[in-house]
Amino acid sequence: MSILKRRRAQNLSEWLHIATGKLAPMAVWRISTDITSHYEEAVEGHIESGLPMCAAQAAALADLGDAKAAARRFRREHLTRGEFRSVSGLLRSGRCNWLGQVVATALFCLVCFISFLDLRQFRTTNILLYVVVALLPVLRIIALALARYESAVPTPRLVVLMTSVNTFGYGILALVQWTNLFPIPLTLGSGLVVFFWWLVIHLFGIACSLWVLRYSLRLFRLRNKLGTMTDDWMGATGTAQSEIPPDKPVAS
Amino acid sequence: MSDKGSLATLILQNLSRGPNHGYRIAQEIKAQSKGVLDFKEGTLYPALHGLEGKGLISSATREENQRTRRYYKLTEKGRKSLVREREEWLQFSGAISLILKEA
Repeated sequence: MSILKRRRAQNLSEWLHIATGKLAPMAVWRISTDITSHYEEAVEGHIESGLPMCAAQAAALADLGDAKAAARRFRREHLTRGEFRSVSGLLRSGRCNWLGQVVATALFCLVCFISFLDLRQFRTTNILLYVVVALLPVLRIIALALARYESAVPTPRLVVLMTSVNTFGYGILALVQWTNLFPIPLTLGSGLVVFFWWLVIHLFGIACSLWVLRYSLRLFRLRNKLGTMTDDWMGATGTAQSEIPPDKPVAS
Repeated sequence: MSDKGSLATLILQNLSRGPNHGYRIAQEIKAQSKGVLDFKEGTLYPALHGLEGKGLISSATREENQRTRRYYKLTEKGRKSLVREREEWLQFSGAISLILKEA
């Protein structure tokens, strides 16, 4: 048998292990309870239809479908462990050392602003950059304030959105700033070594800026994922048990 | 309409008759379609969780027959979405039927 051949899950716990492999702890709990309950009912159903226990379990497992395909679908709907860490980190950073972060952001923006501010060569095309610089601390403060507002359910979504916009601003700023700080050495007579180092520093700066931009886009996608389902990062806060009465007779 | 979209509409339609749990949703869709639409559970639950994430359905657990069942229920937003999706689907399938009849 080829070692490349896909190995199928042999039992429910194996199926769940594959399907929930990279997901956040609360998502794993949620999926496991749903699927386990479903599997048990399916086994009972197959036994009632005349199958022996082993065959019923195998049929119920087959009904679950491909675990890897399910894992891909679940990852689209639930937070992965990495995303969970990101959201938790953002919320945690908003709740502690709040003032320090605002001061750091404001200082960063001040440095950027001073380096942009060249009154002799003031160009109106830089107005947008000034706006970005001015908005960065404001957005950061709003994001942190929202993170501290503990009772509101949609808070994490807003915090992630604000941080995403904020980070995007940093990325753009870094990209433009890097080009401004290290202009191309037009006189190649200064030597190939100088040009080489200019290229290395430039590529490094652009790579860092692009990494920041990529992170901001990742956060933006994460914000879309953080719907109204709060279980993944807040635990099973859910609705009260009595909210949904079974108005249909329950299948035995 | 994509497969994913049609499954979501089928789930919303099922829940429009009242709260229901995952196993019975799958069974009822299969029975109503006379066995044609047999969604694997690995497809059903991500769709249910996705709908819940969008706020179209809500869920709560209940203890029944020594088993924890999660019941899903249509929200007001879900009800509006179902009306819209149903209209779109009827319009779409009507148009396809007209073309196929001609052939």
